[in-house]
Amino acid sequence: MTALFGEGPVWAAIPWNDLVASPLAWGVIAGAISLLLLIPGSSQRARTPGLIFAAASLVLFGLGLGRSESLGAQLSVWVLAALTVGSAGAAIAMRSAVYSAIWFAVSLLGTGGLFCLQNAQFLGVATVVVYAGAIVVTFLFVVMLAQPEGHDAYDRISWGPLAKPVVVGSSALLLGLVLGTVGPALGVIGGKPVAPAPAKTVAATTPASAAGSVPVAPAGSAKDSAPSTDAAPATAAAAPPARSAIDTIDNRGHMARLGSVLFSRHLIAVELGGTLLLAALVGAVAIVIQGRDERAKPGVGTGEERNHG
Amino acid sequence: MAEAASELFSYLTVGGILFALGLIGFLVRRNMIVMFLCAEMMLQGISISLVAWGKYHANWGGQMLVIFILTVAACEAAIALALVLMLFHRSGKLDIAFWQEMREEGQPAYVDREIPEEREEDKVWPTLTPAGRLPSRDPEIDLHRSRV
Repeated sequence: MTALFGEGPVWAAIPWNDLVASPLAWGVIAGAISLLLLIPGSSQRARTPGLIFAAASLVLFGLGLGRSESLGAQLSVWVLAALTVGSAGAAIAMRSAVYSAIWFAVSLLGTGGLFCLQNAQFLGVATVVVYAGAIVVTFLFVVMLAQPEGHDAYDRISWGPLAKPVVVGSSALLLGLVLGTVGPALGVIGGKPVAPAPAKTVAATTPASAAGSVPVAPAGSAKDSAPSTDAAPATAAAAPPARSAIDTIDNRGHMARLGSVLFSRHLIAVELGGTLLLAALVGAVAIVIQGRDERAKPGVGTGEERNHG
Repeated sequence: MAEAASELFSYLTVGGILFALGLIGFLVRRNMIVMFLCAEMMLQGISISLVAWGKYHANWGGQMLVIFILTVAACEAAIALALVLMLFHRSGKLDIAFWQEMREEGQPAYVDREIPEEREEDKVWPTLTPAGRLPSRDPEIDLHRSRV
């Protein structure tokens, strides 16, 4: 990534004038203020100013996002991004853990939509299905564990008066630095790229390592991508990434190609992932069983235990 | 250019915001379940960025990584919920500050100075909308039922 950002410290690569003119910077600031007002902390404030700042930051972020080629695509990006970010903010601002879980589930729906927009339909559906199951389970845990009489005090407070400003401020600074370096490097903020784009060696190298069942890239695309790797002029960001047959990510034959890549190039990782799932399953059962044994030791009857467990 | 790079930047922005929100929530909130949700939120931000980079470079690597992130997140959810359940059974609350005696030696304990009163509009617990006629209940059985 140092090639992307150039030499020297990170802040030297940031064009500060362009950043101040960008609505993203103001969106970060407005979002930080709204989080300071809305997140549960040491003091209680009215909710309206925080909501106004949150809406302002959403609008500013929407203005600062990149432009898509058509109005429909732009609208769907705006709506899904607002849904994702807004409900994620609500998830951490809610006093009640039940509402947090619900808002997080809404945020996951938005994330699944964003995946679908990026030609990752399988991931979109998998996110919704896997996480929806996990979130429903979490939600049930919250309902079972939390006291129905009222909310707990630890949901209304944080770690002292300093924690919230420090954490929100440093996170906003981190986000601002990331956006302020990536945006100009991609040519989105400020108009011209300040650093050469990353070398497009991916499409040229990967087909050679692909398995035999995978169609080989046409020679033309590899030849086209070769000059752009060593030349790398400042305008290289303008050239679209070189594509080959296997690496084209579009809607046609999406699942078939995803599966062929997953089970050829990443076969060992798939096996390792399955082993990890099994180990986690055994580990979760072991944790619960061990806790039950320790609680049963002081002489509590087994019937009592069953009621609690 | 401009479409590919600018589209990439949109998704990177959303992913970065999600990560920052998850980070803030993880560090500020004290409910263990909310902290767990915030960790998942950070993973979602990373996933969006990975898929966007994968589309920009026309490479399946991004989506592959996200598939494995989903796998690891599922494992993490299983272990974390088992641990949260254990900790709740031992302490009776979901407050992570209860476990601060595991802190580093020599660090002062964190004590809550003031706990703000709950607002009236917050004293609402989510309930299910009643559907149909209320069934007749046997008072004998009701005696044995704990709060449900």
